[in-house]
Amino acid sequence: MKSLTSFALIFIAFTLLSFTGGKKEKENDTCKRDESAAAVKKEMVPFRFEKTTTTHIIFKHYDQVKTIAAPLFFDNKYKFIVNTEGLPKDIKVQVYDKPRGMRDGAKMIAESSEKQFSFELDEEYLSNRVYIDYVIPAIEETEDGILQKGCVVMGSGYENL
Amino acid sequence: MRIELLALFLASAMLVACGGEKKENPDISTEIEESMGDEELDIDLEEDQGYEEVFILPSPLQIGSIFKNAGLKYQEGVVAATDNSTAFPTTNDKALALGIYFADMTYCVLNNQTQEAKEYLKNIKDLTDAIGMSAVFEGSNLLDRFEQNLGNQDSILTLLIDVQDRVDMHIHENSQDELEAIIFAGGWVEGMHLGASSPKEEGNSVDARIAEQMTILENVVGLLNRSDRSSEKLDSVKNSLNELIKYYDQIEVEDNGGRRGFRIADEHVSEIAKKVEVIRGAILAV
Repeated sequence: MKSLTSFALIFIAFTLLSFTGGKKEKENDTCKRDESAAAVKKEMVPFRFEKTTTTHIIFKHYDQVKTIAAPLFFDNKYKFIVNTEGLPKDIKVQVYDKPRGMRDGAKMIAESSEKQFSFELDEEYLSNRVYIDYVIPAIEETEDGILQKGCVVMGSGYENL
Repeated sequence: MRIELLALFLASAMLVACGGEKKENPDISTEIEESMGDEELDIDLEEDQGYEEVFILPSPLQIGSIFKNAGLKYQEGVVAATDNSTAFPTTNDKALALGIYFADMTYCVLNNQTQEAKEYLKNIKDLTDAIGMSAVFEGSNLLDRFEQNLGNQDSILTLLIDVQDRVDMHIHENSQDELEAIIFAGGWVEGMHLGASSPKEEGNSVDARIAEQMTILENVVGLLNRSDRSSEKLDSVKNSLNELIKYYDQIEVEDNGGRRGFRIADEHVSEIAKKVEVIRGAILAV
C-alpha cells in the first residue's frame, strides 16, 4: 500500500510537470501605435490627414518583405509618412510604382532607414497605385529565445480639396 | 511490482516529454495570423516566401472629395433614409449599411448639409454600437462636438476624420479586418450611386471618376472573397459586385480602344448606375 501511494505520488508529480514545465515563449513587443500615429498626424500638415495603416511585424530567422499597396486618384497630390519607432530593430522602407514581380527596370521612388520618413507624390506620378515595401532583415534564430516584434505605422494624406 | 514501477515511470516520463517547450514553426498559419495588422487582409500563404502584399482602402472622405472636385453637386433625396438603421438583422448587414451611412454623411458634410450629416452620425453611432464597436463613440463626445460645430465645415471634417480613425483603430485592435472590407463595400456602392445620380454638366468629370473608382472595386471584391463572413445579403452583394467587375472589364476595352483608361460612354455609365442601384437596394432592404 505504501509503495502504491508512492507510485501514485510520483505519477501525479510527473504529470503536473508535463503541463507546467514547458517554457512560455518570451516576447519583446515594442509596438506603440498611438504614439506613432500621433507623430505621423503631426507631420502630415498641410496635407489633409486621411488614415493610418498599422502593420505588425515579427522578426524571423529569414528575410521578409511586406508591401502596402495604396490606391491613388488622378490629379491629386499625396503625402505618405512611415513611422518605424515601434520596432525593436531597424528595417528599410522602399517605395515603387510597380508591384513586386513587375519591377524589371522599375525605378525606386524613395528609400529610407530613418525612424520616420515621408515622401510626396504629385500629378506627375502617373500610376494609380504606390507600393511601399517594408524590407525586414533576418535575425539570429535565437536571441535569448525572445520573440522580437513591433509595428510600423504609415499615415496617408492628400492635398486639401 | 518492479515492472509495474518501471511502466509507471516510463509513462510519466513520456508525458513530460510531450508537454515540454513548444518549438517555433515559421510556416504555420498561427504565426501568420499573429503578424496580421489592422490592414493586412491580403496574405501570401506560400511557405517560407516571407512576402505579403496588402491593399489599403481609401477613406470615404477622400472618395467624396474626389467626386466633389469633379463637379458632383448636392441633390435632395439621393441619400439613404435614416429611419430604419436598427432594422438590419445580421452584423454583416449592419456593416454594409454602416458603409452607406458613412458615405452619405461625407456627402452631406462636403456639401454643407450639416443638419442631415448629424442624422447620419446618430445612425452611425447606433450601428457601431450594434456591431460591437461602441468604443468608437465612448468618451469622445462626438455627437456634442458635432452639434457645437454645425456650420463650421472644417471642424466638422476634422470630426469626420476622427470618427473614421476611431473605427480603423477599433478594427485594428480587435483584428476585424474582414469587417472593414464589408463596411467599405457598402460605402463604395453608395459613393457610386451618388456619383451616377449626378446630372451631366459641361466641364464635369464625374463619369471619369466613376470609371476610376472601378479600379478599386477589384481589390474590394478580392478582400470580400477571401473573407469567411457570410449572410444571405452579403453573399448576394459579393456576387453582384463580381458581375459588375466583369461588365466593366468588357466596356472598358470598348470605351478606351482596347486599352485601360478612364473614358466611359454615357450609356455605360447608365448601365453601371442601374446595376449599382440594384446592389444598393439590396443592402438597404430590411
